[in-house]
Amino acid sequence: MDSVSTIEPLSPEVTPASMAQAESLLANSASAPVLDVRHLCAVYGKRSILRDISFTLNADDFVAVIGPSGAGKSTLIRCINRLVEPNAGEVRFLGEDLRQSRPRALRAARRRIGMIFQEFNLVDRLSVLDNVLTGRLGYTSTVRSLARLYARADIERALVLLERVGLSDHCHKRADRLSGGQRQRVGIARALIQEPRLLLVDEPTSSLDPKVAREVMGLIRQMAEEFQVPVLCNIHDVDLATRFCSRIIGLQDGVKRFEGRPDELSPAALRDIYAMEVL
Amino acid sequence: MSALIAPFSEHPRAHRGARFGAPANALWLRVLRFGGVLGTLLFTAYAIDYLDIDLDRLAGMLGRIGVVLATRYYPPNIEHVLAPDYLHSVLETLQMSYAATALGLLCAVPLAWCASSNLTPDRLFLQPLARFIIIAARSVHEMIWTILLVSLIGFGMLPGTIALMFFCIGFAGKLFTEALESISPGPVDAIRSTGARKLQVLFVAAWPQVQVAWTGIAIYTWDAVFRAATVVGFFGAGGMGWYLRESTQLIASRDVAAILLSIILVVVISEIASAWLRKRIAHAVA
Repeated sequence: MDSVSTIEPLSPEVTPASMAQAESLLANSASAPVLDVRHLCAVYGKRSILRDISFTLNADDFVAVIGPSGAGKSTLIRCINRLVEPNAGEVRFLGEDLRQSRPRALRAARRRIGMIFQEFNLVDRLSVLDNVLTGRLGYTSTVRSLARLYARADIERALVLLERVGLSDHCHKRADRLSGGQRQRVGIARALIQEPRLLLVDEPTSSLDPKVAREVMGLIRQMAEEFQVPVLCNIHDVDLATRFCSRIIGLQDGVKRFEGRPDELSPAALRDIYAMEVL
Repeated sequence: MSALIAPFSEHPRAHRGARFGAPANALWLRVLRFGGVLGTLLFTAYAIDYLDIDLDRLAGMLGRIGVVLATRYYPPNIEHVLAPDYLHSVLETLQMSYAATALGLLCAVPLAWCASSNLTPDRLFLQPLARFIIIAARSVHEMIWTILLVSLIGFGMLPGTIALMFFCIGFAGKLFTEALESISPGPVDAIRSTGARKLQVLFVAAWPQVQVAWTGIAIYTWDAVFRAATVVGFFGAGGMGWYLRESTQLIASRDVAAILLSIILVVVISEIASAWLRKRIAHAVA
């Protein structure tokens, strides 16, 4: 545990100046949110997926997005790092509106946004260690990455992270040899090696059984606290959301119907969010 | 026509469809399908009539074919294909197909990357351009390419190699693109979300998913190119086809027979070799 926190930062651009800037951002987290989403709209064909969604995410937040399937939870998460292109609104990440970012700036922002997926989305034919190292691609030159010549520091960091998620014995196995829970742990390590300033988590537990789901959620929360990364997490399981998250956003049919602490989520509010779904 | 459709609606499934409330749709679909088959048959009959195909001539050929083969083409002049000149042309054909495949694949890989709808680096300009190049290479037959190139740069191996290269670009380019477009999108999303460049996405997320398919396609392409290479010589591009034309024009039928047999032999060998290799590789990398 100590070994992780004492590791030197890897990113070349993390200079004392930018560290100071980051720390001041952390200190003033109330005034300068990590993520500030304003009036976000997304349209698919003629269907409106997201309608005028606004919220902010501070440095110490662990926000769950709940709602019935088809409410636009996944689209919301993907609009933030522009895996899906939003149609209107602003997505301010550390003050920069990613909707206006040129490709190079978008890539630079994506490097600092870790993402964890429902289907894990590992590269099956690569080893566990290589999968974790793909989290460093944004920091690695194309030529080096084609030859899989990752920096020594990156490899050491990957090994430490794999130890932290409990996969030390599986580093050189192929990713498709692991169980679901283990694969998601690889996904978590891949996101963390990016040294993210924000974690986007898309239904991390839907492909897992309930016991493993709780373990994985616990691990994500523990890591988020340890690395001081705010988390925006889609989850359809309300029980897990209230148990692990500090704030909850309720979506219904692309509209934000609720935002508040888990203890504010009354049965009436839940009925409102899930009104469309036959319970 | 209604009498013909009637038996279909007696089918038990028709009743089931009616019970589940989609009868009109199902009936229309059956009428459409039936009409389609009927239309195809009618058009075939019309085409045969229009082309004035003389079936008597066809029947007459069946009677003569044995005699012609026995008197003119038998026995094949095996010495002709064992002559050093001809054996050398077999080697040339092999090298022509090999060089054309290697160069063609080299062009097909970046073209397939640009043409694929899911990984293309540029949707506005590069994707349509790459698609156009692949389609253009495909839509002109390799023999036409050969004739065209021979008239442009003269006889020899060069026009043949270039024509076969175009063939390879069209053939492998299309199959490579389709393989890329059928990969699972999850890893692509994941790698893109790390801030990787487009080339890194191709190599890290896509290549592991297509390497088996691409290797198979590459070998299959060589096989197809080799088959085409045995004939491009007929139009002046060197290799075995050149000798085939020479013998046909001299009406040296027993030489022609031997050459045809040798072409069948080498094509069968190449096909067996490519099938074996594809199987081995699929096993080794799976």
